Amino acid sequence: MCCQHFIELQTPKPHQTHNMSDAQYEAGLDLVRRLAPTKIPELVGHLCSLCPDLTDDWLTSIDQPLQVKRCAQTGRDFILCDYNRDADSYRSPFSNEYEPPLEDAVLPPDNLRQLEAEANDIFATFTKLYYESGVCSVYAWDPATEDGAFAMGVFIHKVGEGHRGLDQGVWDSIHVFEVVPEGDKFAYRLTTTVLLSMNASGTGLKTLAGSYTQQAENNLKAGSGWHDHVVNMGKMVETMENQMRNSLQSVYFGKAKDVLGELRDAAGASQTQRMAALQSSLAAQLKARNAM
Amino acid sequence: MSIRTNIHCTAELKAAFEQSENTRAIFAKVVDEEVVLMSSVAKSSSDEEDYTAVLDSMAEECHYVLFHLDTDRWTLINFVPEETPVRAKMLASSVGDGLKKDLGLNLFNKDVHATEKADLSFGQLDVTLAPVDTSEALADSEKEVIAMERDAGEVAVQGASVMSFAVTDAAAETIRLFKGEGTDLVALNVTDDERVELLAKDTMPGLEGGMFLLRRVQGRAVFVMFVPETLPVKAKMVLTSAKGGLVAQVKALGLDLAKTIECREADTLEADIEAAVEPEADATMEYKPKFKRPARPGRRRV
Repeated sequence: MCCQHFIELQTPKPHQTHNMSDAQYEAGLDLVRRLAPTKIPELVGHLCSLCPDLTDDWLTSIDQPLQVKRCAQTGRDFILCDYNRDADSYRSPFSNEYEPPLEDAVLPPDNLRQLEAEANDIFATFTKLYYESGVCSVYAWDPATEDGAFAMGVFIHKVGEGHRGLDQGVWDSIHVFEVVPEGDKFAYRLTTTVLLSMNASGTGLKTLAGSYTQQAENNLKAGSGWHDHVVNMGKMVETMENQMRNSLQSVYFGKAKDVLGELRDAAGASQTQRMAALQSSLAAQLKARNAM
Repeated sequence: MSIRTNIHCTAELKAAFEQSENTRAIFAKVVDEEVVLMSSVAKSSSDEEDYTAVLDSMAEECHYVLFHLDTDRWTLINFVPEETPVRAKMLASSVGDGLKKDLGLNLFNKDVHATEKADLSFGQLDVTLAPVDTSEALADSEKEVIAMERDAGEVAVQGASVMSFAVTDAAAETIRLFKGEGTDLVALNVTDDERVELLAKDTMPGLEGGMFLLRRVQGRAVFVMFVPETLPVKAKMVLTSAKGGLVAQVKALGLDLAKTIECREADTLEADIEAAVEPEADATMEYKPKFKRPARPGRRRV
């Protein structure tokens, strides 16, 4: 039996508008929404080779499962994604070097590199607390939109194998912030995507996979230096992940449980009825005592 | 709500049941949280003829009669006289279910409940091999309709299930304070003399016992009935009975409850409350972007 569950994936509109390719872009996203989430990387590859002009739009708006690579200098694992990629190289957040090496590579400005270092430490702890194990990388960059604005992405990748009948389960969190100064505060705009997939062939359930995206915006105060920013963003990430985990649980599993309960009562309806009758007779007795 | 009891039968009763080829009936009752063997009666004639004798030897107390039919099926007679203490009454039916499970559920056909010997007749016993109980074939919704029709005459009594326990002044005052957003947490419990009293406010009390909680999370008020599994059955029943009335009283104070939930485990309490205030996740979890994500830093191609 093959069981696949898809969650509606809606992606932001493209930045540029091309008349003819607009339709192609929409059609491509539509395809991604309808096909198996586990096949997204393959599908995006096909889309890009069909319409090379739209490659950038698609890669920007379709979140793909995260990959992991070992940093050649520090020996630590880091995450490969669109936000630490330049051409075909990826930058390690630990060494700040591109692998494979790249000439005239795009590096974050010095001040953002400080933020990146601090945030990587903090979110490594966050990952340890919530995931026990798992790989976490934070990348910061200049979005080049407004003075004083910066962008930061937090990426967490956790693979669970061989636990409780699970062949393989993968959780990917993709948190992308844009922080813009507004008056004496900062506007934190967070877009989070969670990609969840699991294979449990032993139970007859083959694959379950989905992607879920949410946004949050907060106006918060931050002093000079990066510390306040890291705290503010850390709290938003924590709240967002907890909420999304609960939603996933209620949608994937809560719904399935409801349906099962509806189909076949576990306790037996007669027992439930008897207990209800008993309860009301007890209530009547207590009431009679109260009335005395 | 189903309540699990941990009351099991003794080895003696089990043995008597296993060697029961020539036994007509076994009497058993609950003593010190165990179902013990009282006595047994041997077969002397057909099941129908033996039945009267069995009824005659029944004691005038709360007990079970396991009646052995000629079809080699058993009927559990759940005899609960009116004067039985409330707790024993409450437990009688679930202990009976547990007893059947202990002895082999497949050997029993339907149960018989009686409060007086005069209620019992052989005609009630289902002598056919396979139990034919039409109620099992009905959908829950159909059963509800039947139950409603049956209970129509008892509405006054049924109304008692939303009976109101008296709320102490301190508790009522704190509920008003909660309504005025003066606090985001109120814990209430039910005392032995059946009043709802204030347990704690602002901070969460220890979660050893059952309680009611009013919590405000993300600006929405949630009513929680916290009933740990470990709670004695009677305490569970008291909480359940008090809930409806208390909710009604809280609403009467003008408090708008976003959700009323029930939680059984201290570990999941916070998560349950959080989940309750989550907007109902609709099946598609449709996502409408409010703003764009920032553009990536790198270049696509060299």
